[in-house]
Amino acid sequence: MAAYKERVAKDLDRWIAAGHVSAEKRAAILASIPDARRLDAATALAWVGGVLLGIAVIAFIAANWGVLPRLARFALLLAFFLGLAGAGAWAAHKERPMLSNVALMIASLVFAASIGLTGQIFDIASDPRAAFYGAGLAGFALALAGRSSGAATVGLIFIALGDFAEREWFAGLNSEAPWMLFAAPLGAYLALRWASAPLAHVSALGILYCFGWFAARMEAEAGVLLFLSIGMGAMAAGARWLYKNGRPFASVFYGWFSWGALILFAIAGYLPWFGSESSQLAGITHRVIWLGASGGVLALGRYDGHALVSTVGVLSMIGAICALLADLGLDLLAAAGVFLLCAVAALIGGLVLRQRAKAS
Amino acid sequence: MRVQAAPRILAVAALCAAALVTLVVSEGVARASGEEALLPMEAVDPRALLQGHYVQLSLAQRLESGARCPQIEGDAEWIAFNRDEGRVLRFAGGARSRDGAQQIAPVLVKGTFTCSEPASGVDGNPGTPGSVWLDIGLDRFYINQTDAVRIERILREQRPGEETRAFAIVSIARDGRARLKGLVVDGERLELNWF
Repeated sequence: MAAYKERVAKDLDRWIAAGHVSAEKRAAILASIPDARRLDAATALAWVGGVLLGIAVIAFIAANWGVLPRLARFALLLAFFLGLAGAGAWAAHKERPMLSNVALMIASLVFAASIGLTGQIFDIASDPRAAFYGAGLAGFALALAGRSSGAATVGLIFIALGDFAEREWFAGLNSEAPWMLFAAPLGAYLALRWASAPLAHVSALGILYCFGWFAARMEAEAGVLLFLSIGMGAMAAGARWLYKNGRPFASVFYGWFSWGALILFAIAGYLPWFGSESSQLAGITHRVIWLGASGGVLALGRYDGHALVSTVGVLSMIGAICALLADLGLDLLAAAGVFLLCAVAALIGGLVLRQRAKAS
Repeated sequence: MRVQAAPRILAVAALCAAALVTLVVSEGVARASGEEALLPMEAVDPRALLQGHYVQLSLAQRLESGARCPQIEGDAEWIAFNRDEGRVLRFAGGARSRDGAQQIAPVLVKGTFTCSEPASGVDGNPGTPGSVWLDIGLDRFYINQTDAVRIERILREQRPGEETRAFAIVSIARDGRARLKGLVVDGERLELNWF
C-alpha cells in the first residue's frame, strides 16, 4: 500500500507538471489513500520482547521445578496467561491495536504451553491431538474476541499440528476429517477482513493442505488431481478478482493458489492415468500443457505486477522443461521440435496481447 | 448490543483458565475415585540418556513359563489382568472389546500391548520366556531430578528374574482408563499430591 501511495505521488507530480491536475488537489488526493501499517523498529522490538518475556517466565518455572509446589506452578501459569490476556484487553480498551495483537498472540502461545505443562505438573496423560486442538481453539477464540491476527495465526498452526498428530494417511474419506477444513477458510476470511499478511500466508497454506488431504484420501487418482487443480485455479482466479477489486491481501492467496494449481496439475501427470507405458503420448501432452500453463501464469504475474505469481510461473516452467526432457529421453531433435512449437505459441500469444493492448 | 473488545477478551481468557482448572480438578477426582492397582516396571532402554526431571515408565511383564503370546484379530484395545496378592496386576490377555476382555480376566484396562514370543534354548542354554509391553497411555512420571535419577538407577540395577523393586501405582476408572497415582520403589511410596 505504501508503494502504491508513493507511485501515486510521483504520478501526481508528473500530471501537475503536465497540467492534467491542479496542484491544490495533490494533498487531498494523497490524503484519500490510507497509509500502510509499517512495522517500525520499536514495534518489532515490542514483538520480540514480548515473545522473550514469555520464554523467560516458562524457563523460570522450569528452573524452579523442584522448589515450587505443584499448585504454585499451576497458579503461576494461570496468572501469566490471565495477565497477558488482561494486557491485551487493556490495550484494546485504550485503542492500541498493535499492543493488543501482540499480547493476545503471546497469551495464546502461553495457553498452549500451559496445557502441556498442566499435564506435566499433575501427571495427566493426555491425547496430543486434543491438546493441540484445545490450544488452537483457544487461539481462535482470543483472536475473535480481540481481533488479533497473531492469535489467529497461532490458532491455525496448532490446529494444523493437531491434524498431523497421530493421523493415519491414505485412509479413505470415511476417516476423521482434519479440523483445517473449517479453520483454514475461517483464517482466510479473517486475513481478508483484518488485512493481515502473516495470517493470509498461513491460511493459504492451510487451504493447500486441505486440497492435499482430499487428494490423498481419494487414493491420489489423476482425474481427482486434475479436478482439484482446476478448482484451485478457479480459487486463484477468485483471489485475483478480489485483489483487483481493492483487497490487497487477496494477492497472497492469488500467489499460493496459482502455485497449488500448477503443483496439482504437475502431479496428476505422473499418476496411472497418464503415467502408464501405453500412454506416452498422453504424458507428453500433459507436459506440454503444463509448460503452456506455466508460461500463462508467468505472463499473468508480469501483467499484474505480482512477484510471487511470476516466480511460481518461472519455477513451474523450469519443472515442466525438465520433465519434458526426461520424457523425450534426451532426443534432442524431438526436444527441439517441442520447444519450437512452444516458442511459436508463446510468440503468437505475446503478439495477440500486444495487438489487443494497442487496440484498447 | 455490541460488546466491547476488552470484556470479550477477558471473558474468553476466563473461560480458557476455567477449562484448565476443570481439567485438573476432574482428573484429580477421577484419580482418587478409581480402583488402585500396581503394575511392575522395568528400565527403559539403558542406552537412553537420563531425562532429568521425569522417570520414563516401561510397563513390561514376563509371560508364564511356556506361555505364548495371545492371538487377537486386529489390535487389542482392552487388556485383561489378574490381580495377585498385594494388588499387583498380572497380564492375562487382550481383546478388541471390553466384553471380550471380560471373558479373559476380571481387571480391565483400556490400552494396547506388544508381545514377544518365548525363545527356545539352543545348545543346552535355557530359553527365555515371552515378554509383553503394555501401552496404557502412561509413559512418564514427573518428579524432582534427584529422585528421578535415583529411580532410574534402581530400575537399571534390576535384573530379569529377580523380585520386582519398582511398581507404578495406577488408578483404574470405571471407563477402563488408567491414571498414574505414583510409584512404589523399594517399598517407598512416591505419590502425586497437590503440593
